[in-house]
This record gives sequence, C-alpha cells and structure tokens, in this order.
Amino acid sequence: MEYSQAEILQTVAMTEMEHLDVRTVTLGLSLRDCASESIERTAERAGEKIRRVAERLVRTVDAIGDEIGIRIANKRIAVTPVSMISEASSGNPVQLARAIDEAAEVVGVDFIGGYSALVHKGASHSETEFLRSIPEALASTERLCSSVNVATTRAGINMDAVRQVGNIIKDAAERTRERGGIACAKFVCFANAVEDNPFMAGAFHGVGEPEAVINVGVSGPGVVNYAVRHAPADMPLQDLAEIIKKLSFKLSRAGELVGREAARRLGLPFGIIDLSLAPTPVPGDSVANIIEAMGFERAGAHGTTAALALLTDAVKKGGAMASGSVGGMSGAFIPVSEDAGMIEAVRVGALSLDKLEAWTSVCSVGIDMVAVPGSTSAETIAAIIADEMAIGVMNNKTTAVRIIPVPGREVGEMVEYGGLLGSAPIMAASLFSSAGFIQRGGRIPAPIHSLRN
Amino acid sequence: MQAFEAIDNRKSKIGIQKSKIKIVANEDLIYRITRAVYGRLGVGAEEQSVEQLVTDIYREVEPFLGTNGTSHVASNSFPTTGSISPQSREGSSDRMVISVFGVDHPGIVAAVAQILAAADCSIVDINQTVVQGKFAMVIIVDTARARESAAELKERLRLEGEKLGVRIYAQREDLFNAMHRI
Repeated sequence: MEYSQAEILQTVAMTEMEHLDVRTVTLGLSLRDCASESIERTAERAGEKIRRVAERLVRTVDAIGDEIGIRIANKRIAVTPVSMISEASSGNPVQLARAIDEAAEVVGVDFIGGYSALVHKGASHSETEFLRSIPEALASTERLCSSVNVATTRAGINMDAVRQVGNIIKDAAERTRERGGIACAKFVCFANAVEDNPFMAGAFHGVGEPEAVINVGVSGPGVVNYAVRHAPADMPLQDLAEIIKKLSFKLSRAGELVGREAARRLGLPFGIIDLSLAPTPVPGDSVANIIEAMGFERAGAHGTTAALALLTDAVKKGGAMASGSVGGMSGAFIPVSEDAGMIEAVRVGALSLDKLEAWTSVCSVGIDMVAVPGSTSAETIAAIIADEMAIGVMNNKTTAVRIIPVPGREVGEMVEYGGLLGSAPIMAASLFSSAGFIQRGGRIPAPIHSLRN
Repeated sequence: MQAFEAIDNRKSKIGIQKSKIKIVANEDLIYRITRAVYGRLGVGAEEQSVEQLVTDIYREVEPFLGTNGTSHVASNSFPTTGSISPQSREGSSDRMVISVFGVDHPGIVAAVAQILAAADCSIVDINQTVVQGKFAMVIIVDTARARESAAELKERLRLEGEKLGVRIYAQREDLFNAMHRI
C-alpha cells in the first residue's frame, strides 16, 4: 500500500478526533473600483460586486471540505480598507458598512473584514471622519469586522490615532451594552498589520493585493496538544520543537491543498496559507493546554513566555518548509475568551494581563479577546494599546489589541459571547492612570532600526 | 523484420550509452522508445540523431520512474501513449482512502465492497487486519468513473458504518500525499 497504516491512522485521528481543521478560506476582494461620488452609489456597487464574486464561495468550499475529508470551519471575505473607497464619496460611510454586511449575509459568509483604515503616520480628513463612524458601523451590523493600523516599524506609533481608538472601543462597547460590548470583539487595533491575513477580525484586502485572491487559515492546536501531551516528560525541548515542526508541516500541507483547490474551482489566484494555532472553546483545542503540556501547572506561570516562543517558532518553521506561500500571521494566537485553557488559567489567577502582554512579544499577534471592567477609562485602553504597539514596532512584528471593556461588569465575572468567541473572564487592568501620557498625542518616532535603506 | 533487427542492434548500442547518461537502464523501455522513434522517422533515420533523441526522452521520463525503472502510475507497464499525469506524484484527486475501524465481526469487508461496487468505484489497494478483536481496514479506491458524488458516497458509507457498528471515514488520497510525502 502506498501509505502505511500509521500514516493513515494519524491523518484520520487528526481530522476526526484532534480538531484539525481549515479554520477559514478567505476571499480577498478589491473594492477600489466601487468608489463613486455618492456613498449610496458606492454602497450599491460594493454590495453588487461582493454578491457577484463571492456567489459560489461557500458552496464550493463546503464541497471541497466534503471531498477531501477535512473540516473547513469558516468561509469569509476581506475587502479593501473601506476608508479608501469611501474617501471620494460624500455621505455617512455607515451606509457602506451596512451594504457590505448585507452582501455578506446574502453570500453566506460568517464574517467580512475590511471596515478599516491605515493611519500609522497620520490620517486624512476623511479617514478621521471614517474612524468616528466605526462604533456605529459595528453596532449596527452583524458580520462586519473593523481594524485600524496605528503603527509600523517604519513610521512609528501614531499616538493621536491610539487615543482615538481608545474612544472608539469605549463607544462601541457602550452601543452594544446589552450584549456584553460584543461590537469590540469585531474590532482590532494593529501595529504592522499584514495585507493578506485570512483570520478575523483583522482581515482586510491590502492595497498591494490582486483584484481577488484566496487565502487560507489553518489551525490545529488540538493536534499539537495531543502530540506534546503524549511525548515523554523528559524529552529535551529541542526534540519537542522538532515534533511541533513536523506536525506544522503536515497541517500546512493539508491547508495548501484545500486553498489551491478552492482557488482553482473559483477561478481565482491562490494567495497564502497562514498556519496559526487558533484555539476554539472546545476542550483540548487550546494553546494554553499545549503550553501546560510542556511542563507547567498552569498557563501563565513563569517560563510560559519561553514555551510560547518555542511553539510559535516551531510552527513557523514547519509552515515555511511545507509551502512557498506562507503568509498572514503564522504562529500561535492567544485569544483568552476562545481558549478553554486560558479561561481556566485566568479564573484560578495564574494568567494576568501583564503576563499576556509578555506573551505577545513572542506569539504571532497580540492581546486578543480580553475583557476588562466596563469602568476602564478610554485613556487606560489607549495605554494598553500603546504598550502593545511598542512591542510590535520595536520587534519588527505584527501586534494587535482586541479588548472589550464590558459595560457594568467587574473583575472576576464572566461574559458569554457564544460560538467561536466563547466566554470571557473579566481581567484586571491597572487602576493607576496613564491619562497624562495619552493626552500628549503626537507620534512616537520610528525606532533606529527602521533606517535600513 | 529486418527493420526490427536493425532496431535491436541500435538499441543495444544505445543501451551501452547508459553509463554516460548515468541512468539505471530499463532495457525494455529504451527498446520501446527506440522502436517508437524509428516508427516515426523510418529505419533510414540517422543513427546518431536517434540515439540522442532516445537519450533525451529517457532523461525526461526518468524522474517519473520508480527505483526499479517502472512507472509510479502503474507498476506493471509504462504507458505507451499519452502523457504521464502529474497527479501520479501528487496523489490523485480521483482516488479516495477509505478507513474502517471497529470491533471485528463477519461481513464488514463484504458490505463495504458492495457499496463501492454499486457506486462503480474500483478498489486499487486493500489492507485489512484484526488485532485483539479490533478490525482495521484501509481501501484505496479509484472514483474516476463513480456514479455518485463524493458526498453521496461518504453518506452511504457512514450509514453502512452505523449499521455495522464500525466507523468509516472517506478522504481524498491527495490529502495523505500532501501530509505525508515531500
């Protein structure tokens, strides 16, 4: 037989028992040709284009998943940063948000990303207006996701934008008060945002991307968790890294197969595969559990930053070996509310916001799906973002913040979002003020290593 | 016949070239290529050109050959016409790997095989073992002429699995190739 029984058993175990899935097949779509003088006309054109290009996306991808025998959890769309196409149009960009959201519903995708602006060095008049529209846009739509890039290693950190994002998050939480501030779960603030990220809520179709493209996000913390858990307790760390690397190779190859097949059937170019260990609330499908399996009582203990660094690096190396089209984030995500192990670690007091921040210097994104008390000020949220952006800018990596100041809730309580978003324990933010620093505004200059030309 | 004798002579000369082109010679294949070339160009073709042509063709097909000089496509013969499918190296999207696991009892192989036969899927390879009462079977099937879609076949196998008290998974072969072969 061409494959050994062990190979076949491993594949079946991964797909059927250890939650290996293609987390998302994301259609990246340019809407630049939809811009017109009036926002109504732009909205109409954008909606029509999404419905037309993505018409077959969901059923084609579902059929591929069925045939190949691998679960494809989500079908999504990422569009051109909307601030760029609304710039030429007079009127409220929220109309455009609603049209995009409606089109997403029609074609059957669960999220559509790209209500975004790139303002890392400054904002145009219309971008400033656009940023103000984000809370209303998120509160009045279901599937729309929004992101703002406020910093890059080349440009530094736009602290005016950071301050404004603090206000956006507070406003969005308040507008969805009765649903635990869920609008904030659909908003990400980035440093060094990538243009081909297939994962939500931060996906958008970058300006350097083609007309339309298929990007794939693969996940599989359950698979890695199983392997690490069953490795001998005295296995040296370099051997553990090797196991993770080899598994990542296999996961990436499976994802690339799906991506190329989807691209072929939809008649679109294949973009990238992003292997990111993205946890789900399902027990065992947890990045925290992988870290614990390396030899910790709880995720968040001292040494877990080193363990996460090993994990992220091994995942990237396995992915890079497997495919010439690796992109996006590629590494490990640490969204608290979506990871049963992390929720438990917070609940028992092992994992704090400070330790999460330390983790973000070595994980693939940043502070993700963290709930803080609703009383947390906009300045404190902006300060949390500023810290995170600094880690990204100084270390030449993508970092992000997706934080929810849950109205009316206090530390120790839980808030339920359901589905993939899971349930978030309210974590403590510092009670000491950062307001003076945030109110200064301006820009934190780019680091010395930005001068690389 | 005289022409074929001539080819035989020339083939042996070409065969001698194998050390120069560093190939594991497949005499039969070289002979067949040589015959095909002479068939096209006529027996009067210049010997040196034919030699060169045969060598070039052999070099092109060599990567698609197994270590014993046979094709990966089918181990018994080299296709005489048509091109070599690139799928042979990447796993086939027309093939499925069907895995059956559960407690052993009579009739599992027959029931699964019956479904495959009814769907016009031919079995390419089959491997079945029982260890301590646990049944495990892996079947590779060719679905190129299947009458049912992959989804229908999978559903039929799933229902049969429920009846038999075993778990049946059906996945496309190229998934295994992607994950386990470089």
